[in-house]
Amino acid sequence: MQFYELLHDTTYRYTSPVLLSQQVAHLRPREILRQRLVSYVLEIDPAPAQRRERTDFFGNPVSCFSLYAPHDRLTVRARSRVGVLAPDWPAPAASLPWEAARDYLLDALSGHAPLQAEARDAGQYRFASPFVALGAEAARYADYALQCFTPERPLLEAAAALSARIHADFRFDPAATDVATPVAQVFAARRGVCQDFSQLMIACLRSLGLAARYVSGYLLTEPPPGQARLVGADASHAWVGVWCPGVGWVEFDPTNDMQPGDGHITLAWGRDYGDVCPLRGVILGGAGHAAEVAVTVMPVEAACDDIRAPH
Amino acid sequence: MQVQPHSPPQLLADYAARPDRYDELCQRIGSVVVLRPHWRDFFHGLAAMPAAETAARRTALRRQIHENGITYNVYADPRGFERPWELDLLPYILPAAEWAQIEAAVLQRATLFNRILADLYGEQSLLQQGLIPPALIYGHSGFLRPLVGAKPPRDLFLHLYAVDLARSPDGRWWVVADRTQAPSGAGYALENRGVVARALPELYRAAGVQPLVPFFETFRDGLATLAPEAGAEEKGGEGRTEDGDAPLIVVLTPGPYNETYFEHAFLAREMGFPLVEGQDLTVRDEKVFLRTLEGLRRVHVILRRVDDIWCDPLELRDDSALGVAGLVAAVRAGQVAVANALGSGILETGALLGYLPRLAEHLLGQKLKMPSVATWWCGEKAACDYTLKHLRELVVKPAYPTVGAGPLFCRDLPAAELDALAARIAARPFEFVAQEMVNISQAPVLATEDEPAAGLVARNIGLRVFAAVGPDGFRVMPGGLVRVAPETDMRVVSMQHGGGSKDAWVLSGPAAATGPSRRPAVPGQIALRERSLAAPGLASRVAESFFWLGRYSERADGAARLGRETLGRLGGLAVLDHVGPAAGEAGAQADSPTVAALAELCRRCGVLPRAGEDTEGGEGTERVEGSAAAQVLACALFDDARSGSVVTNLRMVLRLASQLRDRLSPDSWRIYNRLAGFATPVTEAPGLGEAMHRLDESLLSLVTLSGFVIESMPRDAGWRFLSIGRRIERLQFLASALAVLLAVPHRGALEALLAVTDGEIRYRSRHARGLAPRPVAELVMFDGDNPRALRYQLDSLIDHLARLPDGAALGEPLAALMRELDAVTDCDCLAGLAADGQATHDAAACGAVFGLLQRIWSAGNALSDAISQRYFTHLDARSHATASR
Repeated sequence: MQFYELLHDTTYRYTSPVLLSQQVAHLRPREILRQRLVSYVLEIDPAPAQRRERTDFFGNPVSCFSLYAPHDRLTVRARSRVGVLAPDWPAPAASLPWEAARDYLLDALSGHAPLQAEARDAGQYRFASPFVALGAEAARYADYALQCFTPERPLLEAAAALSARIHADFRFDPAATDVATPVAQVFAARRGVCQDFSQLMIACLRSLGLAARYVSGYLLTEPPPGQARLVGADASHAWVGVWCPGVGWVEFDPTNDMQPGDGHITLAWGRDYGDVCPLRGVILGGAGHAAEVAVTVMPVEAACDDIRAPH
Repeated sequence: MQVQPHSPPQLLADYAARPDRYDELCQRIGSVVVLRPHWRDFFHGLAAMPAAETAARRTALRRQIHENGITYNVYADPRGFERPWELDLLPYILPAAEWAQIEAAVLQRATLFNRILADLYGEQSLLQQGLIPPALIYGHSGFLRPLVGAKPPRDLFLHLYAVDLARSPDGRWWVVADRTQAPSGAGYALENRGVVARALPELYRAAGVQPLVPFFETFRDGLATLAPEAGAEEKGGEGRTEDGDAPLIVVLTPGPYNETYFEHAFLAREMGFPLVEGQDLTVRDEKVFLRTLEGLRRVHVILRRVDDIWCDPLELRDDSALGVAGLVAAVRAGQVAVANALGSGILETGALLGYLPRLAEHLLGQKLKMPSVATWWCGEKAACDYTLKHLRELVVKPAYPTVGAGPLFCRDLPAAELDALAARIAARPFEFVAQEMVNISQAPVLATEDEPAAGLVARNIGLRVFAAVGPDGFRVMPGGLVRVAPETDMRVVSMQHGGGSKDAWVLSGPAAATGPSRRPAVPGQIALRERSLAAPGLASRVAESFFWLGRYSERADGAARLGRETLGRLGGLAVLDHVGPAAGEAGAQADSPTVAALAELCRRCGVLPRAGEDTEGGEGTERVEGSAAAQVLACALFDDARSGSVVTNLRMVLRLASQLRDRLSPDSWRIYNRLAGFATPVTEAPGLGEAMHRLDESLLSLVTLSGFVIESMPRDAGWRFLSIGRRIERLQFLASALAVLLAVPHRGALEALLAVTDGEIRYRSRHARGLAPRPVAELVMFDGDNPRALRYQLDSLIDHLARLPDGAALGEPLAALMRELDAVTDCDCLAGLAADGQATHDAAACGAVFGLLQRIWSAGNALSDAISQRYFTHLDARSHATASR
């Protein structure tokens, strides 16, 4: 198991005071079979007047907090320690034909028979969602995906091919999009970041009738040879889960054309970015806010080493 | 002249029964067509009425709709498009026995829907057992995942439910659609009842109609039972002091631009709940509070007219400006009840209709009492196949809420469009619902004047019925909103497509009529019985609206008086120099300095463009004389593109009044509606007479309204802010008028000053011997008993401010100015004004007076700013959403 010390700092500076601030944070790494959460602390400055920890509809841990006193700066630091196992993804060629997966899901969701628990879960991720619109544009996503999803092709093999195709066709360009850029615009411009590529891949899969979900997390990046690891040099990351009957969720990272390994640390998952946005809030006042985000992913030797804060 | 009464055949000469529709009025027995029994009394009563009398009743009904300001979308459209409410004089009548069946069916359906919602947002056993296809719910954007697991008070998700019914040719009732989100129409139904019962009092009384008011009383009592219990707070250890207080219930509206805003305000007023917008509410520690002048007041129940996805920008749609951030968390914490529950809109989908029979069996152990119109959700393979095969005979609707997607009548579609629709259905079957076409029933409507027909004509109708929670379960409103299809499209019964409405009369059964629990049916009775509900302090936003209503009312009043006086003087040979500020040097007419001064005052008050604002004419002094000048002024007065014109000020008055609609009495609302007739822009230059008429009428309405303020408004904080706004505006107007007109040593200027301050009578009663500057100045400046004198405004403002929370300090600068004013009274500088009206006086000698006037004017601005800062500031700040990567 590979252990990590994670720091996720978000700082908002406001040009006029914020009178009231309510925030919802998806910053606590989710505990899953292949990922162990050793510790998690959320430091908020100024201190919130109210705070509550809960679990959202998708099973993710959420921290909600509010500030009622005027402030012109807000700093939120999530400090976690997790252990991650490299997943053992099933062989893509051995999976069932993608049409069978589509029909199985359709049948399970049509109400003709009692719903299997796992299909019930997968069904949440089968339809359009706020950040993944599937109106008239759905036909174009389907056309794009069908080049990989040839008849009778094994589902996971086709999904891997789609991930590779997106990686080849699209350029990584942080300046091209922001958090709210619609998938259709990404598809037309052929540029974006991990959020965009993941949501595009999800749109393609759902337009074929398959269930796909958005995974938010971090990726360990290796510093250039001979250089030290820099604090705050990393970023939050996103990738895609595809549901395969009988197997479960299998993940693909279209930004890097790979399947997640023990360098992918999971925070949360949902239908799209909107369900798992790391820090979402509503503020009263505070015109012209600017956010700075700094993420550090630091591999550590063991679960309990006392790692000094880099600051 | 004696008018012959209608005989029944005359009334029915143009009334066509059709074999393919059920006729509500007539039935065929063998070869004879006769009236249905429950219509007979009413029909004969109507037939006995002379045609001229029927027409007069209809005119009275329309006048009342206009005066009550009943509209479907008040200012809903930026282009100023508003549609008056269409209401037929004739009611729609249902006998007691038939109604009992409808009532039972609607009760059952409301109960069933509440159970379905409780399951979808709780156990979800219906999805697990396949009783509702999971795809139907999962694919629906109205399934609000953040609300899953939230348990509302009394397990009630549905508090006000509406159902659209239609009758098929065989006389059976069918459900066409359900409204579970925030149904509209109950308030319109109550308003319809008031108007029709007043227009046809004798027929209404004779018919023995079941009253609507008890339904609203029950609903109000039912909402009160939803308030989170006081004990729950103690458990939380918060120790707020509200325990034992009556619950605070508010109506949440998207605002005056919503199409049914009239109804939101009407219901709030009738039920005694404050009408609030999202920005009036705030969430602290998972509790909802109303922002009032006195601070935050806890809100226990929210009757919402905002669609649920817009209700909380934090957890629902983050681009919503209509909601309350944190509301979902407050609901989950059980600290507030929202009616209907957030997420209840999902049941409006037609896709559910086909599953209701088995859901009724499963959840209630009952057969569904009233069938739904045959509906196929294409998400089911068999239904999709059927739909594609029979597409031409069906009506296709979206299964999930889609903006602007109305029903498609496939019969009318060209072949190419039909094919395209079939392809869309095949590609995304989940998104479509197909419904059988129903030939809905027809009912009699009084033919309008512009129709060739006379008497009664037949129109297709649909009936919307309402159920609401009371303290012990659902109750059904005995009546409802009947919607009448327009002649142009007889298939669509919808207020959005035009068409009208009817009052629905449910006749009392023999038992009910004598039962002691029935309240007497009083024509037009719409007042609910008193009930103790929390009376919150004034919401800050409402205080702000009152303040500006006061300011703009007074500003319009001043502009109209000034316009009238100036126009009157221009009617002669005077000169209006409308570009440069240069005044009296030109023109041979004796009165031209007065006109020039009035023009200057018009510019100061914004009635005419200020120097430099008016670009036409370019350099130099374009001089317009006499009647041409009057034309220029008349146009400027009614130019709706410029702030400061009379029309613009009147529009602001109307806009603010509409925002305060729930707090203005119906009588004053009628005056506002009259005023609206004069707040229209003119397309071409009005004639002098026309312009004077408009100004006179506007002034009359404004004065009437200020009379209401004095005589009818309770002396609460709203009244106080309105009065303060009014006084500030008048203070500034007087300061300007005095500064400009006293500086002109002409008799005409003194006359004008008295005219624009409404002081002629008082002056004449005191000074019989003609005009002199000093007594005029005394009357308009120092007279503490003259409500249009400067001193009176200062005095009154100081008094009002002292009664506001922390307000006394705001009055201190005014008190200082008042002392100065009193000092000036006996000062020598007034001596300069003591000359005879025709004599010149040295304006410079009166410098102290003019300096003081200037400072008083500025103090008005400063006070307005200070009030905004102290009482309204937090509303300047806008909420916005933030998100990080």
